[in-house]
Amino acid sequence: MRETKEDFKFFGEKNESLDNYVDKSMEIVDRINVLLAQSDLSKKDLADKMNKSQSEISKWFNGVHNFTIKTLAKLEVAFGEPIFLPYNGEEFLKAERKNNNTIIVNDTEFYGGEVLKLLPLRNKEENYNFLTFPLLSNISMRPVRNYIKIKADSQQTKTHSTLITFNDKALNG
Amino acid sequence: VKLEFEILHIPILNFAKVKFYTIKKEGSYKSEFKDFFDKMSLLGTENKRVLEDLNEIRSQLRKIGEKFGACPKRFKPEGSVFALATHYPKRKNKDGIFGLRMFCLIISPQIVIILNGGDKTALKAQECENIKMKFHEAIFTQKVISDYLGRNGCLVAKGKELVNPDNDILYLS
Repeated sequence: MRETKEDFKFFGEKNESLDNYVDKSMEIVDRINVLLAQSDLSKKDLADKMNKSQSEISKWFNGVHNFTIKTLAKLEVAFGEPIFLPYNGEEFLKAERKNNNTIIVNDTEFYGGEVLKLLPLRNKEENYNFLTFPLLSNISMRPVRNYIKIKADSQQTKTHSTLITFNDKALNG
Repeated sequence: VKLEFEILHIPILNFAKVKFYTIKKEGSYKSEFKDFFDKMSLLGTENKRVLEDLNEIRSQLRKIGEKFGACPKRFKPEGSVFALATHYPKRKNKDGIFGLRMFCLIISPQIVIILNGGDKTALKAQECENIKMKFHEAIFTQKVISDYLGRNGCLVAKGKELVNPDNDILYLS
């Protein structure tokens, strides 16, 4: 196909906060789609649980939606599962890592076929000490913002899921 | 009456996961995407909200293109077609503010054709004076292009490339 020569420079410009808003909204849409599929609930059941109309609920499963914290809190209660913080793109990553060895998420590169965990931290130093690494040489990690960045050696993908043990205190803060 | 049209790719919207295209009708000096963009930019000089919506649609294009891919759940269903859309809560809807709609044809997770659209002012697209014509055109164009891709075979989708192997003239009829 021929390319258009029309001026679309506007679409080359970036607005980081809007990009981030769209990114987060799409990740939440992924998450609630997965939670609905994993639950025994239909959209009608969910609507009934949340005292909303089914048409209103349906809008949440497509496109970009500006969810309020109140709505997210109600969704968490309805599903009995956390929606946002501990997952931070987890549903998208699960789908991604089936096909790719390199994933870029929020400035963080994860190497290898597995992304192990993104842990929310309350106290970086404290929680850092509670982590146990049986095979530390294969993994590099450091706390970034509210999460631990973990890089895993791409040669070790088969055993990655068993390499790290988190004790309860680290997980629960 | 047979109206020729051409499919053009948009170089600035060629991302890792999705390549965006638009169409240009015989006798028009602008593509549909350019027409939409120019109209909304002009409207945005009088109404800041429209410009903000346009910025968000730009972010949606980038996130779909770079990260999420063009699966239907990234778009808002409008009747039998899809649109990139901004979200407004019910209280705004009551004032006739539903946000921009930019109609799109999802050919595959890697190929999207951007059509026209406008600022939606009613719950149903067919009841909104601003977009109902573009909505009906989108439905019609979808049928035409589906025919060219399907039984007709004039158009072929290969990865991110939409190809017209024999350079057949395409008609909107």
